[in-house]
Amino acid sequence: MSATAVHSPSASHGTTPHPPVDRDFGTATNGKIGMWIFLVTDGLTFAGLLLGYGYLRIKNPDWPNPSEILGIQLTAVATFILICSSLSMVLSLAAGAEGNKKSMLGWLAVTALGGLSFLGIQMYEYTHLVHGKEMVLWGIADQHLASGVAKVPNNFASTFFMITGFHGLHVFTGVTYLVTMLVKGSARRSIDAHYLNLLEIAGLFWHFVDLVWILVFTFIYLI
Amino acid sequence: MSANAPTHDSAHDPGHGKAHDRKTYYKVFAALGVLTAIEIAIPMVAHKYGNDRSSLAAFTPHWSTSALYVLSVAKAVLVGLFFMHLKFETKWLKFIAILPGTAALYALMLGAEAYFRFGPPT
Repeated sequence: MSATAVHSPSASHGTTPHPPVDRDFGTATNGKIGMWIFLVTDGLTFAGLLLGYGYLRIKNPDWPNPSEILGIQLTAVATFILICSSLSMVLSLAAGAEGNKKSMLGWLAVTALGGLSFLGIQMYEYTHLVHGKEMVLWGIADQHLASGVAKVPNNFASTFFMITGFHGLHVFTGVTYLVTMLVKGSARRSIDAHYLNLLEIAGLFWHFVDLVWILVFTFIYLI
Repeated sequence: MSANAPTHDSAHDPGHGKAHDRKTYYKVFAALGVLTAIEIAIPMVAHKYGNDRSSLAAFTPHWSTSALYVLSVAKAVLVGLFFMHLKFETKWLKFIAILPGTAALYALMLGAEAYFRFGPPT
């Protein structure tokens, strides 16, 4: 960050005073910049996993058609729920910026519920998949050959559970993060700039979880 | 590094200005919903008409995969720009945020290597 930071006019709108303006990062706080750097590293981790999936798939001509194994319609519902939760997250932040604590906490609760619904659908999906012969958890599947049935490594199952499970862990973390913000917000008498900043940082993480799922859903379920 | 300090209008400021425009949020939400519906429809259309050489679906090989790539990236960009407020951030924060996009370069290299080693996708 630049060493020179200028302070903006001290006049404030509503409940939020103007933070200092850095010439390189504007009004972004250290916490926000830190969260962005974390998200970059996390994004690169997901990118590595998806690239590994893609490479394994390219070199394996017997890769199964995901739409024949996975429940696309159910996952589409989960995807839509996650998109809705992203909307409720920004509406929560907008309400907080206006000083409307009740609306802010309400939208935040809706966002957390959206995340819980997504996790519920994922658990339901996993329960069904692990009982199917194509997607056993330990990565071994029956391959029907002319000479009989052979046990072969199931890279599709391994990469599927690895990537979607890693994302599910992010959703769980995000829900915990949002509930923490909900509790902290409820305990406050009014919404101040510090809390709004924390809420915006939490929102960044939640939107990242949504953004990654958009890519995972397309690359693993649809292609 | 930038030589000029951004004004409050150019920098995102939580709680102020145009970053929290609810109309924009609803428009982005609608766009994400529509794009997702198109994405889900594409594999169905490809499955139904993919082998019909006279149909538009067979106009280019692997058309559905290309379309899905474009749509998913478009959705991710919408979330980043409007929900994560990158549109209102300074160029340095935008630059940091776009770094994972370099994975696309690795994907191109891996794709080229796989094409050389295994031939065109079937």
